[in-house]
Amino acid sequence: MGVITPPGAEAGRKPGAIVAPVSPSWLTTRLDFLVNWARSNSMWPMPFGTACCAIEFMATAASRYDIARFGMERLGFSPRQADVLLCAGRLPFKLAPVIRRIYDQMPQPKWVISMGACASTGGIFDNYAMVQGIDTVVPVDVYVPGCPPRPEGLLYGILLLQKKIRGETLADPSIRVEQTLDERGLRLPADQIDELSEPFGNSLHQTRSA
Amino acid sequence: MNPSAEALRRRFGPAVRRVAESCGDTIVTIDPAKNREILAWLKTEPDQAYNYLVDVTAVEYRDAELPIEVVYELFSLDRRVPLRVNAQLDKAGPLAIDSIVPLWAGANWLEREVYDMFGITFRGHPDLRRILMWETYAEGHPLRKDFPLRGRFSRSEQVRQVLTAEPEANYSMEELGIAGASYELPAEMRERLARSDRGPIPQPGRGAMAEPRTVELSLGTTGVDAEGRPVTVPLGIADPDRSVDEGSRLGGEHMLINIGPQHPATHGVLRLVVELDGEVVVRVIPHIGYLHSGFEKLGEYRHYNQLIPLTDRMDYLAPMSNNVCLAMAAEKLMGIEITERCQVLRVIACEMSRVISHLVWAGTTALDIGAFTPFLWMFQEREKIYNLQEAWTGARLTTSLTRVGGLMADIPDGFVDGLRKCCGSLLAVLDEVDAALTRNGIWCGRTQGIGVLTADEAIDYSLSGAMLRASGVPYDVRKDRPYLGYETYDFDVPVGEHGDVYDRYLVRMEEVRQSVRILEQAMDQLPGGPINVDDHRVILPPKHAVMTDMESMIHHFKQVMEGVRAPVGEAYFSLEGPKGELGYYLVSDGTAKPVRWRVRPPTFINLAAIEKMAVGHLLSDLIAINASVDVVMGEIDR
Repeated sequence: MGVITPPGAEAGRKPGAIVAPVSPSWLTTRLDFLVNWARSNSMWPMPFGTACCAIEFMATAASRYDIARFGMERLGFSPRQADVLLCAGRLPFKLAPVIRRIYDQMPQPKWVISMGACASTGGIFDNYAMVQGIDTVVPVDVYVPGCPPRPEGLLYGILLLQKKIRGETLADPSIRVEQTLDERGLRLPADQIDELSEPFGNSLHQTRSA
Repeated sequence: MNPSAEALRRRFGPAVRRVAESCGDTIVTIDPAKNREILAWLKTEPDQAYNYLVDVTAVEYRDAELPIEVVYELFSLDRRVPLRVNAQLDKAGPLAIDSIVPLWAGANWLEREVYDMFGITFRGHPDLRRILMWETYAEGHPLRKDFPLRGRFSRSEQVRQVLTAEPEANYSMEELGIAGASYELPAEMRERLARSDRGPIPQPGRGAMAEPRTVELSLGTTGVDAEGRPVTVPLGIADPDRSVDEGSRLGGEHMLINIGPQHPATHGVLRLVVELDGEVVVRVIPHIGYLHSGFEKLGEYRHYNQLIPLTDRMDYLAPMSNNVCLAMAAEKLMGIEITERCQVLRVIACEMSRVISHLVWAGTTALDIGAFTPFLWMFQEREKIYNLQEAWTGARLTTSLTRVGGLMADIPDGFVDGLRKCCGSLLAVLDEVDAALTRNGIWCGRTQGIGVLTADEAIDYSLSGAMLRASGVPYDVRKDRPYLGYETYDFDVPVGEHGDVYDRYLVRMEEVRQSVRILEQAMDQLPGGPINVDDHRVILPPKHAVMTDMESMIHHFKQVMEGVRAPVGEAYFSLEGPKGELGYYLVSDGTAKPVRWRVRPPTFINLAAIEKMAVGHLLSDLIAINASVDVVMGEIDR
């Protein structure tokens, strides 16, 4: 499997693009700390709940697990006012343009959590209807394994994302570059999508007819 | 053998081609050219009175020589008798058969699904479009045997096609033609739409539909006049005699509003395209299939026990009753009698899942209508039941509880005590919700008189579960086609009077209380003994025996590698799931994998009536109506 480079990563370095002229100094690192502290502790999730994982997401948001402890209680169902796209559940092909449209509508900075086996890899649905991992459609920051993940698992994924955000720096604008679709309408090169979507484990064996 | 088969023979002679019996079900094979005539006779003939259409589906066999069968599952609500009628379509000829939508409105979506999945055309169907796949889906009909499991195109091509699809893929031609919407289409597409075989698009500027439709307005909000007497103040259009069409001529265009697929009030990825005249709903066009995951296709590549994890993920609000239903259907197919303890434990599983499903329903519906607190109360109770589920099965949500011939595990120590405690606190919370909602003015105003369906309409749409009972039809599978010894339990079936959203709420809340009654009885009479049948061709032998005993080892090997073989035949088994009649129809050709695994999805069929319920109401009422259906997209789209 090749290394996946986000298509926009080089675009940010093009001549004329805004590149931070300064090396990290005391001031910028303090600023980074402040900005990242604010961002990571008040992430507004956009719950893109499709299937079983959405129920566990609801459980995470409800009384016992209480996602509000991590600054995420404001569930914004409008992508225009959201920071984290939380794809909870399987993503069939029919829904792929929807999640892409929602992702495109979200303003920067934005992150994506892929919750559960189906969102991350297609899960047990290795068939004609299912996108084999949402990373073939939108970039993903944190994958939460499980079918479905327990609320604790999702909370751990959220903590990991917070950790990731705390490591970001304003001096590197390339991480905020919009990753648009290419002229063929794909996010990744076609061969990479095919490679990512290949059958895994014994799923090929199981698909042999009786 | 069902006597109706003989009556059909007498009445229709050679049009009845074959009468067979499989797993206790009578199957009548009829001439496909006469399907509508025969089904109409079965429906209306007083001696037959098969007035309830349970399911319409199709079966294609692995043997390419065999014809495709269109299967109609009927039930007589008065006589409590089922009958299966099938019509065989030769693959060499055109795959077409008369639509039975004129007989049962509920056949509409079912036939669309068969068309989508098998490519069978239904002559005279009012709206034969794809339903689960999108309209421009180019790969074919997925449930056909020559369709590969992973689709015809490569993954990248599949992704590319959906990401670059034109709006036609997402809207029906009819919607694209609705005034206002067609302005936004590219000129080239407008031209193409106008040229298409589906008729010219209506000219923008005038009423919304190609043909004007008249909708009676019976809307009103209740107030009081100067003397304090209640009066009805009409909403929307001041003159109640004036029709919507007239209103549009006066006021202007209808509006097209798209709700979903990503919307908090659609309970998943349902999409409703609503045509509005001001605030009043003129038309609702539901689009489903956004969560179509190919369960039924996948099932054809799995052993019977391997289907059980799939059922968890279908109605994920009540996984255990899905597990039970699949195991029961497979046992019916294989003729297996389960043990007494297993029966009672499965009753407990079914009722637990009814409770948690209704809890989510009440919580989210209240949330939709504006009450947040019940959501938190309900989830608190759910967590308690989740803990029990987890103790029993090891998973909170995806339980995979059953196995063909028994259960995955016996209940753990302390389970019964935990469940009793849970039932106690549950009743207390129900009382609290009752106090907060049942006589709450806002709740009553938002739900009473909204989305009314009469008993006849509910039967016509093949509704089931609380949707049907709220309209006054006392059909409950637990009482009318008893299974798992439900006839020995003492419980009531709540039935509504008005068929509105409020009655559906009352019926569901009472069902939870009745479930608690059943749970208590089940716990009291829980017998000892084994949970699995004593047959190692079906149930895995205990691990210690596998390691020490040659025969057990062979059984173990054969079951794991080859699966459990089912005899040739077909079985339809249904149970009263939380959302309605959940049925699994399994067809076997003698191998270890089913030829066809059909799910009779209660919510899919219940949702089909949404337009009937919503037309004439306000847009905000549509949300309440949609919530009252208790949609779960995993099951609707499968």
